[in-house]
Amino acid sequence: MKRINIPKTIGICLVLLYVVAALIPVYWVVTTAFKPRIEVYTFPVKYIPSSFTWEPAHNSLTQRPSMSFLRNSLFAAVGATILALVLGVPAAYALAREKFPGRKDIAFFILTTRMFPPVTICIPIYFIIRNVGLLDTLAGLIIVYAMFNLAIIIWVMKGYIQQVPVDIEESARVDGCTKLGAFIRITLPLLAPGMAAVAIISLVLSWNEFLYALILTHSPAAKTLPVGIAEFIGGAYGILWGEICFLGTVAIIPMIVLIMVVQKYIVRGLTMGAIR
Amino acid sequence: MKNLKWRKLLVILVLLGPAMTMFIGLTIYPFIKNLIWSTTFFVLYKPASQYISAGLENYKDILFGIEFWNSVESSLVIVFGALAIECFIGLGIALVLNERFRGRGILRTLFIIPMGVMPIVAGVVWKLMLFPGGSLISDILVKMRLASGQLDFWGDVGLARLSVMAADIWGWTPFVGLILLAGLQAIPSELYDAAQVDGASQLQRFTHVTAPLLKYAIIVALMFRGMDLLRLFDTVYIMTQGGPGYATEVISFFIYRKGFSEFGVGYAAATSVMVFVVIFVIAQITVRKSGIAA
Repeated sequence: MKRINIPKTIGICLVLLYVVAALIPVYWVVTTAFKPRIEVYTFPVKYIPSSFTWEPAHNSLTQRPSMSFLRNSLFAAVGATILALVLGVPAAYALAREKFPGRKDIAFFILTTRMFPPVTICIPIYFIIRNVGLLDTLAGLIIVYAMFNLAIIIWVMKGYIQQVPVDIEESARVDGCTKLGAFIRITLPLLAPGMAAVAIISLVLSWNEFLYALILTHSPAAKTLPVGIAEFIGGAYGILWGEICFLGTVAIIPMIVLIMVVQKYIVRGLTMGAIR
Repeated sequence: MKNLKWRKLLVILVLLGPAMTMFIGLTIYPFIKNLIWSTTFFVLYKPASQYISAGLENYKDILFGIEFWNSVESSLVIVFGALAIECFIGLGIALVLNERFRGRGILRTLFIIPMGVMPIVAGVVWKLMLFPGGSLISDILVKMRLASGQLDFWGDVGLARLSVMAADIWGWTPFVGLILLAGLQAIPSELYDAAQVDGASQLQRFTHVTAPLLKYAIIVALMFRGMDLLRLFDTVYIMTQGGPGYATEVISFFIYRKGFSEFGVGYAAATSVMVFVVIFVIAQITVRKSGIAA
């Protein structure tokens, strides 16, 4: 006979209720993007739109350079992630495997770069990027985003590399591999799933970033999606909710999918390896 | 032998050098710039003002003015309010998701969806759902008989702060929940068995086994969420622009406004330095005491 555990059942129902409630905002963005403008404001509130329209989608794609925003966001996020991996994985390897004085202090310093609010250095960074001629370019954004993700990549990858026993690398070296060869042939394949996950987390964080995109870009050549969305809030026609929500839908759906893909790794990534 | 040492140093330099150059160029150098500018009357539209010495005038203005302390107050209210609610809900959900039941995997997956939502879009949708004069949230509250009419989420000081907190709580409670769930799953089940054999009740098992062993996960959650909340900017920018008045002007938004809207680089730099130092000290203490950087 199976006994029903009452507190457990109540708990599950409450969590179910919470999850359903938490999906309402997502539902609201998506439906507002495709409902007639008049229904955004009707009172009493219409929970299910009465008709479907492409009008906001059409407006947001034709009246603003939204496709450029989308392309810029993609390039900035992918570029920053690749750059951060190229710089971060070797650094993580050095911190995990090489013994040298000051190793712990360097690792701690890298950790602290992730702790302070980015806004505290935004004015100097604005001047640095301007002085090297990268203001309003994707390259400028890529460099800054790579720096902000570097700490996560180094700390998470450091943890993964430490989990791989040194012995298997050394036995490969006995068999005639160079140190680099042993790393690439033996350790790197073992790191691949973790590395892919941390790359995706870095991609999502760069894609979602707003403050630096706001201050470092000002033309459609480099503006990213979040800035494009924020621009719809002001302006002469009031707030164009439908148009904002269409761009918002485009911005969040791919990232939600990615987050679901890496859900097993996400805590480790966002706590920089503090929780495994 | 000596040759080997040089070789090793070279390898370390090649591996670590590029990343460290990036950190030095884009964090240490900017910090030093801030330090220098904080002692000048640097104003963005007057480049020469970069060199007019202010001594500690900016710091004095900040500490004896009301604007900075207002932003500290807004930040503290929003940070601690959101932290408390996120931990409370997060713990409850983690405890349930730690049990075995059918559909747990799907529930867990749906639960984390808000974490993927761009903060700007989170701000947009919460602003829309709290729209004065016909908003979804007001409507739901009225239907549940929790409110008698439309609530002015955009104009009321307390409600505006609550709105900004709501967007953050919605987005990041799953993160807290996942950290605590990972902490719960790391507790060996033998401990619960042993406690049961000793005749401990469900509540006693929670207070004597779960709570002490969950301490590390809770500290990690508080630390990472606390730091994230201090950088809160996007949702404030979209939802309130710091208003009504200055009720939701958190520290990040305050620095941004001083620097980029009022062009007072010297003042913004001095504020940044102070925030930086305070956070660095807190980070040092929590990281060293909790053993996160092991």
